[in-house]
Amino acid sequence: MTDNEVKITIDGVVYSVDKNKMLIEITDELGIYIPRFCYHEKLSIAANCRMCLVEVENSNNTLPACATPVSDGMVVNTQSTSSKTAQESTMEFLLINHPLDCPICDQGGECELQDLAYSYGKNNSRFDLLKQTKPNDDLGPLVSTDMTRCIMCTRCVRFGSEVAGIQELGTIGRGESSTISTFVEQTVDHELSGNIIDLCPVGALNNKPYRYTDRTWELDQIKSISPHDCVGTNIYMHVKNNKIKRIVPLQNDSINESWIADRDRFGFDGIYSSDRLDGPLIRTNGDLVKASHEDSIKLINEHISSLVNSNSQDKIAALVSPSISLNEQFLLANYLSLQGVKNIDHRIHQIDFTGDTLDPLFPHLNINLSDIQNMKTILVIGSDLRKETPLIAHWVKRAADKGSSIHFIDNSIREYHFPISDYIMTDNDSITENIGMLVKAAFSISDSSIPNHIEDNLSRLPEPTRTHKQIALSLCNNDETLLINGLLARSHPDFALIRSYINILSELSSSRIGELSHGANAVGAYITGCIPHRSQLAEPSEQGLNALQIASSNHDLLILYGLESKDCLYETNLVESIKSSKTVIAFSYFEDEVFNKYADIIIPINTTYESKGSFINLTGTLQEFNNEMMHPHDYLSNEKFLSDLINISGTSLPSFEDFLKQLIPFIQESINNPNYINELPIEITETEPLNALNEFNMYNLDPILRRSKPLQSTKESLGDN
Amino acid sequence: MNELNQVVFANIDEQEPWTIDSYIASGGYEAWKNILNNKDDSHKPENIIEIIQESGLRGRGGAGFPTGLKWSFMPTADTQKYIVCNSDESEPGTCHDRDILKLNPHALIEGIAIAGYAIGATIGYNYVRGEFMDECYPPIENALKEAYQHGLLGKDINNSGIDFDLYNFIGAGAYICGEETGLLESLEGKQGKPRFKPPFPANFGLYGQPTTVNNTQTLASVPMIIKNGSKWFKTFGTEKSPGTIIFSVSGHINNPGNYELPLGVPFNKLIEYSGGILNGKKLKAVIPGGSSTKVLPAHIIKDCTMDYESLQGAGSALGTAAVVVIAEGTCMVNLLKRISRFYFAESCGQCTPCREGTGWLYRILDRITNGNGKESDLELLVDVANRIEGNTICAFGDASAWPVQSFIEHYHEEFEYMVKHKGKTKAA
Repeated sequence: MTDNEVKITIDGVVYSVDKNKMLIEITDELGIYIPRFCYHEKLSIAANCRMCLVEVENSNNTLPACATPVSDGMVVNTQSTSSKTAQESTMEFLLINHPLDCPICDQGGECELQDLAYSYGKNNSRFDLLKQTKPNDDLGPLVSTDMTRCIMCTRCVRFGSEVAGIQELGTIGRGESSTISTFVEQTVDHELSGNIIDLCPVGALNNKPYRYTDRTWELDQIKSISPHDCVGTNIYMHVKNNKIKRIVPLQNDSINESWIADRDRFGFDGIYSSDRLDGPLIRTNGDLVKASHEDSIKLINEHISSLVNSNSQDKIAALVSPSISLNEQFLLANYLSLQGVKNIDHRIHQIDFTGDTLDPLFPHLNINLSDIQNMKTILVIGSDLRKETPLIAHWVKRAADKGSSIHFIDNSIREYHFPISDYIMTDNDSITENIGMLVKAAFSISDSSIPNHIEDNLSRLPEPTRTHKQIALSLCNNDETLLINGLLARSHPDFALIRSYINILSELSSSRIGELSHGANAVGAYITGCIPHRSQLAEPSEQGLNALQIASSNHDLLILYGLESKDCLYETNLVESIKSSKTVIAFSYFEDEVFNKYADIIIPINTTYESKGSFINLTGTLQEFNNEMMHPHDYLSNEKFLSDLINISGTSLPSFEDFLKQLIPFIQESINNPNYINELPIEITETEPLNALNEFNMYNLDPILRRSKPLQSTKESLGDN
Repeated sequence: MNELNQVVFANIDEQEPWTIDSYIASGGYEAWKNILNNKDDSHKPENIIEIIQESGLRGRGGAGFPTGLKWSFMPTADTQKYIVCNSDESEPGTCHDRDILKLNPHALIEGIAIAGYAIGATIGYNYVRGEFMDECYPPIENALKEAYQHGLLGKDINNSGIDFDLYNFIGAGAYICGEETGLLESLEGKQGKPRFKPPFPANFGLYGQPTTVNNTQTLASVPMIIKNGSKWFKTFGTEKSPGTIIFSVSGHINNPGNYELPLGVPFNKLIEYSGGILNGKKLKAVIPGGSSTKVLPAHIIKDCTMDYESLQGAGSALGTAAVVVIAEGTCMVNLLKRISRFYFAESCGQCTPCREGTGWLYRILDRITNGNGKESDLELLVDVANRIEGNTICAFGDASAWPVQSFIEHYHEEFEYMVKHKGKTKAA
């Protein structure tokens, strides 16, 4: 027994347990079940449901296990008459005003109240009075309410105030009239709001789009990874007849805890959109005509080999979505590189490519996401963090709640529900300058002389203000510090310079860097060589055209994979390129106006919700999923299609397994020894003044989200904020 | 010897006792000034706590917890601490704090200041019941201004190095805010929902800081005890229940009102002071300490002395010393229904047994009085009450259960009669 332990007796057995824990945590660890409703390990203690009352010897009353700290010599009897009576009493009280409408309740079958009623409830009721009813609020398109079923455990309220940071739901009224409600007819709009569905132990808060569609016991559960951002959120897909019915969190404490973002939960709806493609289409005499897979493969091969044979590979270009699986990226990049095609890129949200030579091996964060909460100082640069990566915003909030100082440099004031130390709001152009000023401040704090190669550049910048100095001081003086390089920064016309500044700042202040990336698998895209400046595993390659160049020129053959022109930051350029390129091959999930008009070959592909593969998230974690059972019968798997294409082209299929063997050590090495180059971009060119991204619509990030009906009905999508 | 008004109301017969001049003229603020002047070493905080501990003063808010002991729980660490006065007097039948706020507000202010000094709090809050807005809030607020004008409160008071600021705070009218942690929540601007304990306020109180919450009468007793010593205080009352307490006598009594008397006064004597039972009727029962305490039939209460031990021995409690006198002819079923209605309406709704149980109790009683009672209802009432008792976050659950248990225990036949006779009372 250590100093940190005490001896307690539970049901006659003596245990040495951690003295800093509540009784219920101990019994949970020991596998001794105590019933509960309001207790949730990720939320604060409320002790209001009284279901976990247990007999503790020498206490006048039974005590709630969730709120009773263990103490030396404590004797607990979880199975005694007194414990049972207290628990059965609570169950009876909970049920007297509960409608017991289990047959029409979606929660039926996975209801904590229903489950516990079997063990602690009576077969008949002594309550022969009228039951209460409670009014239902409209919480918006995602969460349905049946508040008469509510048992007032306040998990949803605590989720709001503790996790989301904004109390969208609260208790109003008192006594029997207590109810959970919003503040004057508001809807629940937080990007993590759907989690209250899982938290609700009864059927009061339910999944609105899923409402009345299926019974939970008819669903199969499949582990998967959410494809909508670089977090790699772990999810369970609940499936019936090979169709996804709903998505719930899969707890992973180093990535997403018990939470998922609303787009992880409701995004999948898009894959069942009515404009889903159902077979390959080939333009014949101006019209798109249905074709077989075999014919399409042949035709693509003909197009490519004729250009290859005439040594015109530079007339071929490919833009790839950053959200496709590693396997697809691997096959696609290999296929094109075997044909000698250099023009391939996935960075359709980036404008400034002048820093390509300074690129890290892949954009990443070299700690677990959960470690973000332990950072003492965090500086977020150019990011609408809550919308870009809701779960990273969650971890940053956790750090703020623990007292860390959080700073922002951004082109707009955005709402964060945690204390912020400094917020430099500046116009888009001045973001770069402000980071430079921070670098200047950091140089003077760290007392190191400014190296020649950046002196010129820095000397042109204004002197740092007090705020810059404060932020720099906070970064330099604390041990665990993090610079988050956001998606708005990545889309900035001066991205390369911003990143160089960040690298220098990181060196001066020994800060870690967290580079957010677009899509679910930009890391994979870098590593597989879906970039024009490096090939697989960051081997040097002959420079091809970057995404902006591809979109801004015409080609003999343009291949688009998993993306629509709307996904591209320079949409008009891309549409023009599609129009003017000789042959356009679109691998697409859905029908698309532009493709309908201008594409020559359209190949339907499976989403990652329907295929087998893997993503690498921004912390370098390779996560596999196998959703093949979900893909529509008449589709060929994407992998099979690409493999067939490679086979028919006469080149031999590269081994994915061999690649994987090299991949893991490669990621490890890059993560352990990140090489942040403190050079400035060689030539700082004046880029075309394209519209930089100011607004970030978190439900318009990819073709699937754009077609998710529930998400498209939210305030975020309707612009009614 | 006139036993009345020896401690809290000692100066009550002076002219305008609520003014600071009158209070000072009758020796008020002497104790506080002695502390501020630090005339001798006997006024260190620990000495003050010792005096109060020796005096045997117990909390007058209902629970009767030893005041000095409560003060001694405060951590000595150098951190912001608070003293909070619970003037949210809402226990049915109780009205002594109302008179203190109105008639002797300076005794309270002096008591809060001394308590604050003793426990190391530099800030005090006086949480005044919302319904007292018109009647009691103006006098206590006025007295507070006077105390500041006389340099008795503030920062570095009279160059003593002692800081003490006091604020009056008006509640919004909820019985549950009289529960000390519900009060703290309300004072912080939240819904008045009691916290689960531990941690107790001494460790995690107002804004999470060490806090002591005392009742108005308790604190108003402090200046006289410090001035005259604990021995003097113990000359009143019994050995185990020393001092005086203000009885709020109500119900079927000729002269209802507040009577400050030594603890241990025989029940019959208290009735004499209050002018006897209304209209010369026979006594039927008494609720001796506010509506939450268990009812005692006449044959039990008549032999009781009015102190903590005697009433506990008789199966009830002294509570807030709000003595509700019930004369023959009163229907106990209807009376219990009225009491249960109160707890049903005042439950905060936070925890299950109380939220669901109080309404159930009231509705069963309601149907009994409406002639729709069932034979099984009496057993059910007691069983529901038993299932609330001891299972809730705060003592409210017990308070709602005890009247039901005791009324049915002592007057079972009246309840039975009403069920059988479709709502007809046996008492009339």
